[in-house]
Parts: sequence; structure tokens; C-alpha cells
Amino acid sequence: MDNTRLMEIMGNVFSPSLFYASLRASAPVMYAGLCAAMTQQAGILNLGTEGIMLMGAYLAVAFGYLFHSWVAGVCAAMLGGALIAGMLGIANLRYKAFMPAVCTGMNLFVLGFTRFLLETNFKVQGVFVNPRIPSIPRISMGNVPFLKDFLNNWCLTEWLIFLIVPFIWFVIFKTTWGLRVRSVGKMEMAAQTAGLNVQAYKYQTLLISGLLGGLAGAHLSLGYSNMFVQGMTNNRGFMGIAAMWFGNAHPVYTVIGAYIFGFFDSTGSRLQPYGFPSQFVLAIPYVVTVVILAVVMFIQIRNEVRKKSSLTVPSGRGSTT
Amino acid sequence: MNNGGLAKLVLDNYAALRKVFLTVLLSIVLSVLLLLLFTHDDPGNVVLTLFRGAFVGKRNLGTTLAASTTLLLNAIAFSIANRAGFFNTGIDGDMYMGALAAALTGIYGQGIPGPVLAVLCVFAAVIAGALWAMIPALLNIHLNANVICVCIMMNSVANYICGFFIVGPLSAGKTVPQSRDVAVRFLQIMKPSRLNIGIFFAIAVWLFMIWMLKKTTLGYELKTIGQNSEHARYAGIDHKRTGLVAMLISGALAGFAGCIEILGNYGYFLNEFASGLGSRGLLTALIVRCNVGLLPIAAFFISALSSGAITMQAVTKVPKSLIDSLTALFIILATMETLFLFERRKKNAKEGASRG
Repeated sequence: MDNTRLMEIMGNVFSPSLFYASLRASAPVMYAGLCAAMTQQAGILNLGTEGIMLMGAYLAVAFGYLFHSWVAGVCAAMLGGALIAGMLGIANLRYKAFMPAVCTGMNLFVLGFTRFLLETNFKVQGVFVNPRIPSIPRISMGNVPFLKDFLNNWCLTEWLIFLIVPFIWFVIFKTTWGLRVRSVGKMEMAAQTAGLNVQAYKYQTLLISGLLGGLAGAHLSLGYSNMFVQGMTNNRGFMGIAAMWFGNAHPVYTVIGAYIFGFFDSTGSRLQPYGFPSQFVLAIPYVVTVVILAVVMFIQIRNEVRKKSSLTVPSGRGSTT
Repeated sequence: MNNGGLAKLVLDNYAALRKVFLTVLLSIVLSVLLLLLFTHDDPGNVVLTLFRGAFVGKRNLGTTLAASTTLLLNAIAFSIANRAGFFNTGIDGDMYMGALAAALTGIYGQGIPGPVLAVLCVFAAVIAGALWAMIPALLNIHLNANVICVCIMMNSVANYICGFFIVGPLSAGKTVPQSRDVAVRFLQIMKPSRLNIGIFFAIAVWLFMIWMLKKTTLGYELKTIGQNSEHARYAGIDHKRTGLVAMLISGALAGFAGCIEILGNYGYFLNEFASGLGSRGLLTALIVRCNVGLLPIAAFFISALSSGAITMQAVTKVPKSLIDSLTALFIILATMETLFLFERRKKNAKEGASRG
């Protein structure tokens, strides 16, 4: 491959539209990341993000189709997500289920159940496409020179991220409720001793997380695409969890983490026409997720060791946990 | 196992068995409700068809047994890792990599005499599975990266790697993406079903694992970590080393399961054949709370459901996804620790709601 050809490919791949392509690819992961970050603040690792999202995606299409309105779809998705999250909460908090186990079960359940509903309600297998399925409106920028290149035709739910992230940040870091949630997450025992109803805060974060996860699903099926495909979340929920780790459950950094995944995803799919095997291109986001997760955890551990060594505890001799 | 041993097994696991029984009952009630709500078939007829599809006839019974072979191995794989505190959701991926290694060996080792090639295939599969499971294990042990998340990502990667080989170098050139036939097969024992001698291997592995957990140092260490990791630390058990070994065994078993699928069930690598088999193994293990002694029963039960479901879908028009939802419902109910432990919960409630 000679140099000019390489430059041409580079030019095609890294064009201004890559900015939006990455955002588009990462928006569902961003919502999923926020869904995971919300409960993580209260000390619950919400591995059910995938299931919540898939349920939301199904309900958005089903109710959107039924009422021919995207608002109905989004509302149903958010409520359905909250319902799933609430069930996870009851299983975990009331019946002491091991969270990873019950979340895995829930993910499998939603995977099977959405397929069942699809087959019984719409009499189709695998994919449900119909002109009656509404889509979340896109906002046109008209002919304004700069905006037209970068901000044209964004989906409403993609704009919404820029509102939701500061809002969540404010709620978690600037309100009493947020402070209490964080204290539950940091040290449950202390929060309880201080007189907080730990269970109630956990339920509340789970429900909010469910709303966000449902919205993630609705965006996936009504904004990102315009149909329902069985298992359409395709592990985006888990990528969201990885993004949450990237951002240490901070909403802003979580979203940035998700954007990085989206960047690699869309870069990869632009390389596909130039002879890269499609399987490897499709595997890119997953590999990147694992690598980024490893790097982030490495950095966190190094920082922790540094923090510890700056205290009087000799490094390596402190508590092993 | 003689009758006395079986009776003891039942007595020892009374609470677990009762919970399994009640969970099954509740799930059946829920699924009948689902049937009545969403379909217009007679539930009795549906259940009967399901039963017939799972057990009646050589083909049906053989299919059930063949499915329980892989399921048993996967469930053991999950249980062993779970003993060491690893929630190994990566069994799908381990299995794919094992199957791929077996298929590669089986296809490219054409000249080698059958039995030798079969052994080579098994070795390749076991090693590939173990190596694939090692990645999340090491990432978790050294970097504290979440096993579940990494494993799920690795599953997708494994799936795409296999897809690359099946569509590319190994392709049979048919419309269904599948590889060329492997040069050696396991002996079929219940034609026309796909049941093969792999089932004896799985049972042998199961017996070996029970022996290992009961009689060896590694088994003791795994048990101790599983019951009380703090105590294990005091007893001087190397948490990291034992965990790594458990994950390697887990991956190896899943790889072996993949090899049985290739050499026994199919004779070639069918693209995405294993999707959901790993998670079904996980589900099987969780239903009996990773009690290795009870795994064959659970594996047989789950595979009876899934192979009966195929007939059910064909005959009654009730989609087989209902059975998938139902089996997942099991896991949700089965994981709720205090759900059917009436006495304990009441006692806890009496002792004070202070810890609520």
C-alpha cells in the first residue's frame, strides 16, 4: 500500500463525520454506563444492565407500535426497565440473592422472554420491522455552516445525554440525597449507624438505574435503529459497565469512557471496506473494552498503592483487601 | 453409586432438594400462567408434548442425553470456578475456543490414525479452553478487573474468532456457515440421535471431580475458599494460585465440552453452535447451588426441557423461547437464598429487624 493511498484511507476514516458516528455508536453505551454508575454509587454492581436495556428496547417498540407514538414507547421502556431493576432489588435486598447470579438469570430471562413476546404478540421470529414503529425525532440544523457539519440530524435522545449527565452529576455530588447514596456505597455500616435507611437508598438508586437502562433500550430500538431484533443489545450493557469502571462511577467520565468505545467501534466499521476481515472489525469494541478495563484497573491499583505508601503504613504490609 | 450412598446424598441435601422442588413448582405455575396469557393452547397438552419430546423414543431420549453431556461438563466447569469465587460467565467462549482447537486439529491432522488424533483433539481443546479462561482469571487476580464483564466480552471475541475461521480457512463452502468434516469421530451409541461415548467421558469427569473435591488438597482448598475465604486466608491457602487453578480447570472442562460437541455431536464446526450452552451450564449449576453431586440430575432435567421444547414448538406452536424464559426464571428464583427457607427467615425476623 503506497503512501497516498494510505493518506486517502486515513482521510476517509477520520473525517469530521467520525465525531458524530462515534457519538451515535456510543450513545446506547453511554446510557447503559449511566445505568450502571447510578447503582454503583450505592455500592451495587448492576450486571442486569443488559437485561434492563433489552426489556426497554422491546417495550419501546411494542408500545410505540401499539400507540404509534415514540413518547409512549419511551415511557413504557423506562417503566419496564424500572420494573426489572425493582425485581433485581427485591431478589437481592429482600431475598438475599447473590447479585451477579440473579442479574445473569435476569439477563437470560429477558433474552428468552422478549423472544417469546415477539413470537406470540407479533408472530415474527428474530426481527420485527414495521412502518408503524415510530422513531425518536431527529433535530435538523438547517443550513448553518459549522453546525450543519457537526450537529446535524442528531437524535433527540442523543441531545438528551448532555442534559442528563450534568443532572445526574448534580444529584449525586451536590444534593443531600446524593451524599447519602454515596455514603451508602462507600461504607454501608457507617451509613446505617448514622441512621440512614440503607435499603431504601439502594432501592431508589436501582429504580433510577432502571429508568436510565430502559431509556438506553428505547434509544437503541427507536433512536439508534428503528426495529427490534432479538438480543439486539449485543452486550452493550456490559460495555456500559466497563465504561462505568472507566469513569469510576462518575457520570461525566463514564460517558467519556463510552465515547471512547464508540470511537473505536465506528473507526473499525469504516476500515471494513479496505479489506479487514469483518469478524475482526466486529470484535474491535469487545477487545478494546477488555484492554481499556485492564489499563484502568492497573492505573487504579497503582494510584491506590501510591496513596497507601504516602501514609505511614509500609506499602504491601497494609490490609490486603 | 449404591442405594445407601444415594439415600445419604438425598438426606444430606434435604434443604437444597426441597428448594429445588419448590422452585420448579413455582416456575411451572408461572409458566402455565404465561401459557394461558399469551397463547391459546391447552397447557396439559403442551406439557405432554414436551415430555414426549424429551423422553419417548430413541431419538428424543438420545438428544436429551447428548445435550446433558455438554451441559454437565459446563455446569461442573462453572461450579469449580465458583468454588474459588470466580463467577465464570465465560464458559461459552472457553467452549468455542476448545471446539475451534478440536476442529483445527481434527481437520488438519488427517493422516494421523484415528485414536491418536482423537486424543490430540481432546488435548488441543482442553488447552485452548484453559488458556482462554486464563485471561479473565489473570486480569481479575492481578488487576481486580471484573470477571463477569471481561468474560462476556471474551465470549463475543471468541465467537468472532471462530466465525473468521469457519467462514475463511476452514469453510466447507455450504450455505450454512460450517467447517469441513473432522477426520475422526467419537463412537455413536444411540442412532439416530447424536448421543456418543462423550457421555461416559462426562460422567468420568464428574466422578473425578467429586473425588478431587473430597480427597485432594486442591479440593480442600477450593472448599475452604468457597465456604469462608477469610478462614482460608488464615489457613495459609494461596487464594490467587488456587483461584487461577480453578479457572484453568473450568476452562479446560468447557473446552472438553466443546470438543465433544465437535467430535461427537456434529463432526464439523457449526458456526455459533454453542450460543447459550455456556449460560445454560451456569444456570444448571446455580439451580443446585453449585453442588457438584447433584449436577447430573439438574443437567438432565434442563436438557430434557430444552430438547422437549423443540418438539413442543413443532407440534403445538408454543414457541420454545417460553422454555428459555422458564429456565431463566428458575435461576432467578433459585438464587434467592431466603426464598423457601421459611424457618430461617422467621427466625431472622424474630432476632430483630435491626439489620434491615
